[in-house]
Amino acid sequence: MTDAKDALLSVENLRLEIDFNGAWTPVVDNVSFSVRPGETLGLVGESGSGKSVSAMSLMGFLGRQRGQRVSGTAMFQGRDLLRLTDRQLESMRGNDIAMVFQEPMTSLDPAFKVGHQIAAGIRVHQDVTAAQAKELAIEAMDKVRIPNARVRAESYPHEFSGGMRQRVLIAMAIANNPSMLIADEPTTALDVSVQAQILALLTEMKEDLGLAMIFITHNMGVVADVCDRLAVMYAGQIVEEGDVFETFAAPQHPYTNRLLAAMPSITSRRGSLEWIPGSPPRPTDFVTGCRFAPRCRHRLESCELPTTLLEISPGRSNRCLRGNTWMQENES
Amino acid sequence: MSTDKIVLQAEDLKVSFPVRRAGHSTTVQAVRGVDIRLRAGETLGLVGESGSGKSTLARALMRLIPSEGTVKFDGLDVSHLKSGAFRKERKRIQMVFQDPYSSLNPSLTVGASIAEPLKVHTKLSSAERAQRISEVLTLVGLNADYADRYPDEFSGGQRQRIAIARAIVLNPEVLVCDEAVSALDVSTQNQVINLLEELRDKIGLSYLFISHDLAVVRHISDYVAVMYLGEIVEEGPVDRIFEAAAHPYTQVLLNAVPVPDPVAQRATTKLLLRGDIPDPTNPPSGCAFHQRCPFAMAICAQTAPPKVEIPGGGAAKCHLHTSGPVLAGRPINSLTEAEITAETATGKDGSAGESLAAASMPAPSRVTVPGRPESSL
Amino acid sequence: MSVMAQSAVRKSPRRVNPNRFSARLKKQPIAMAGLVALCILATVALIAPWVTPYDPYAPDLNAVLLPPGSPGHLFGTDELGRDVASRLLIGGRVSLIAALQGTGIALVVGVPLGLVAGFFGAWIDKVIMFFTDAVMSFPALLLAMAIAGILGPNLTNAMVAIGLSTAPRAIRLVRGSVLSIREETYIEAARSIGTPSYQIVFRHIMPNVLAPLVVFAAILAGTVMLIEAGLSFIGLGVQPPEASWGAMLGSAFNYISQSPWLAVFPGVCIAISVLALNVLGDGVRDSIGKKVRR
Repeated sequence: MTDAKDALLSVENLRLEIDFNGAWTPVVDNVSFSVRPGETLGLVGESGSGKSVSAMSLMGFLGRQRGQRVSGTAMFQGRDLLRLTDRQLESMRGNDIAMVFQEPMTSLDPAFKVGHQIAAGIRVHQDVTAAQAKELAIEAMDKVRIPNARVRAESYPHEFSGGMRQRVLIAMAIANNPSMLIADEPTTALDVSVQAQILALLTEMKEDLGLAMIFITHNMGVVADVCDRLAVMYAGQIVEEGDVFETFAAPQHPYTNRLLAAMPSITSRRGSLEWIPGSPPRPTDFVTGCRFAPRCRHRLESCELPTTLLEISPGRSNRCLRGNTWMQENES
Repeated sequence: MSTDKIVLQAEDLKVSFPVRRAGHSTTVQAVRGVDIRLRAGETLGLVGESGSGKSTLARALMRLIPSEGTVKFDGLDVSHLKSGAFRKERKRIQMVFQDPYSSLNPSLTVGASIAEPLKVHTKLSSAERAQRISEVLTLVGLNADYADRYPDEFSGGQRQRIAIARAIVLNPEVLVCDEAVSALDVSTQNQVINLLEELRDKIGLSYLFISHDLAVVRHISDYVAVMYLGEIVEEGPVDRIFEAAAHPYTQVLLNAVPVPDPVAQRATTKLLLRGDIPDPTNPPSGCAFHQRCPFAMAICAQTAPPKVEIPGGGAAKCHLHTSGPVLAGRPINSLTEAEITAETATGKDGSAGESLAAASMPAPSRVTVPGRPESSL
Repeated sequence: MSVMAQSAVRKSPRRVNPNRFSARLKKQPIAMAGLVALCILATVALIAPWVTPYDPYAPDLNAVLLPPGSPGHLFGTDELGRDVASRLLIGGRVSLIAALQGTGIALVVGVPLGLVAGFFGAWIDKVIMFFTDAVMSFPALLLAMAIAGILGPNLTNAMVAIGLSTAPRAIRLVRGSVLSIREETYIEAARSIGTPSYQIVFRHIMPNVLAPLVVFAAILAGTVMLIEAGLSFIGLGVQPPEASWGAMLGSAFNYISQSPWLAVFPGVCIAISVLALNVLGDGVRDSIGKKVRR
């Protein structure tokens, strides 16, 4: 874990519990990470691993309703996101922290022109006139390379393609000069050639505006492309965290290792594809010991002991109870 | 394993739909004269982005939608068969769909779902059917007694196995897999792919494997066809396509796949396409790809490129490989920005506006050897 | 490497339970009360001819308009001295049969037309929907009155009229469900298998239409009962001396100031039955729910 002092966002022991028929069940727990200014953290995992849920809890979309409760701390610019009132959180969302979601189709209101929608978001957070907001909206559309922004601002969402809609959402997100962007699978619904365009844009935004980003994805290739660090999630916990280059070169947790080994390659063909036996546990089946152990080929009896995310070297952490001793075992 | 027997063939297949656009109705040519051949025991990978017409092609082959042109199952021309006669031939070619959650009827047991093809096409007794159902369940790696359970008890991967069991219960020659693993997590996806390969070896299936995931296509296919706007723009043996792609679209597509290796991924020079796939109701003149192509020449906007054989196997439709560029070509990158703006600003519809992105988007930096992309992939 | 090893079925707390529906229904006290009330009504209707204390049609001019609680006549007597309790029992039978008839006709006409319109679409859908819209643009009661007026006033004619005038609602409901189910991939899968259309309709579409249809039928039965009461009230339904709750209400109207109980008893019976049908319909709808996916 990075030093909490120079971090923009520092999350400690985030835990979200949901009431399943009267039993409080943790969906994510023990989630700790931090993001420094200008840094991109990839939050990676399979569906149901808790990566989106973690982000949604930080933003207050989860954990504030009946039947849900959230605990831990999430310090952002000296304030704990989890303890803000709904009002305070609303003024922060879209202003200091912006979000971009997976579905560019459903995130825009079909009844309003996109320029108007971006301007409306600006007027919520900035004290400007309608005309000024409109100019700022066009400026933001320019920044995300929507050609002919002044004309396109008068178009309705259905007149844009999927890739262009995602650009509009990014424009909306950066319009209020946030210091952090949470991108939840922003390219998953897009074609690969459009994904490449959007990833290039996000990288550029990050460099130009000094944005910190939390990039949620299941695609290891996307992580390799845009992230500085990554946190791998499994069954509601972070199992490994570290620098992207180091982690891809030598994954410390068996799950990360298996996940990377399972990625089919575009450059070469192998005999048969790797897979992990079994399936991830559901929250009601979470155990106190290592949650990956039932599917792990390096499992020992001691893997039933409680786990913690241990710092193994500066900026790198691992939850595997066996440290990296499993690596010596013969790959069979 | 593969022989010269062609189990599925389409010649000049065309599909068009009526669409209503802003009040008046036109037709959209979703598939514009496609030829494919699938040999016994072989896997034909069909790749393309959304809107390329790959799923429409699959549905036309299965005659789930009407089409023009010739379709042959195992040499037999089925395109002129009446629906009753065609129904008998359906058992030769079966399909696995993308969404394992909606492709099984939730109110039927697994056994009842798998029994359906048997009831339609065979006269087996119910005991014989039960026997066959437990056989195929075992074959796809599931417990034979799952037949009595309902789909909502199973995970996505297991449901896709059930769908595969239903598709192979009649011993078809061909399985059309339409994005069959796209909805699954990578580990589950890999298990299903391994299963498909196992079945190919065990019962001699051939696959038409449709996917937008190029890595998966590379893994499973013997031969690959790349679709763009209703046409096959390039085809060839899998290694030739992935190692020496001839068509710029294929090159860009391969370049756009992020590699799970940060060192290699960041060292790659990215070839970014301008804009999005054009409006299919109003396809561009000449080569359908010319507005987005990093290597476009003047001739590309005028004449549609013919199919040209490519060394190493297969073919491509691109003027870089015809005699066109030498005579009439001029790389579009030599145009000034003002010219591009003038050219694209004339169009009023959305697609022309999109292509304006070209002007401001970083142009691909290496255009030195057209047709030979940097093989840093 | 073998792919056979894994695939243990997820241990699911919500295993498919054939009794899941009834278990959920049992958790809804109001719906259960409706069900119990309907069961009692049905039983009474079934055995009514054998349990009436008096002949419900026999006038007794010595005991006209007796108030409730009179010796021998627990619910009193009507203007011709007929026992109200006996007439309520027999009238309930008539009303329930009428509700069944009307609903039955609406479903028999509506379901096939809705299936055809939804499944085949194209011109046949347009024709069916044109007539449906035309019929629906008339108030059901008015239409029933017109039909009953033409066919002549008797209960069966009235029920045919009600059935026909409410059939469009069934057509719309069925067509709507078919249209949404038709988009499911399993329908396309069935077509790719070669399953004939009629089998697709019966095996894949009907079971899914059935659930909303049951709810609809329960609520429709309540409506039909009300319309029957209305028609009998104005003399287009049951003819004297026959009894139905609606007809009893109609004749009680003349004596409302001197003998209000004559109107109260059939009125309460109608209200209870319609309420029971409605709450049961709602309960069934909530118990069916949508299949939990993912």
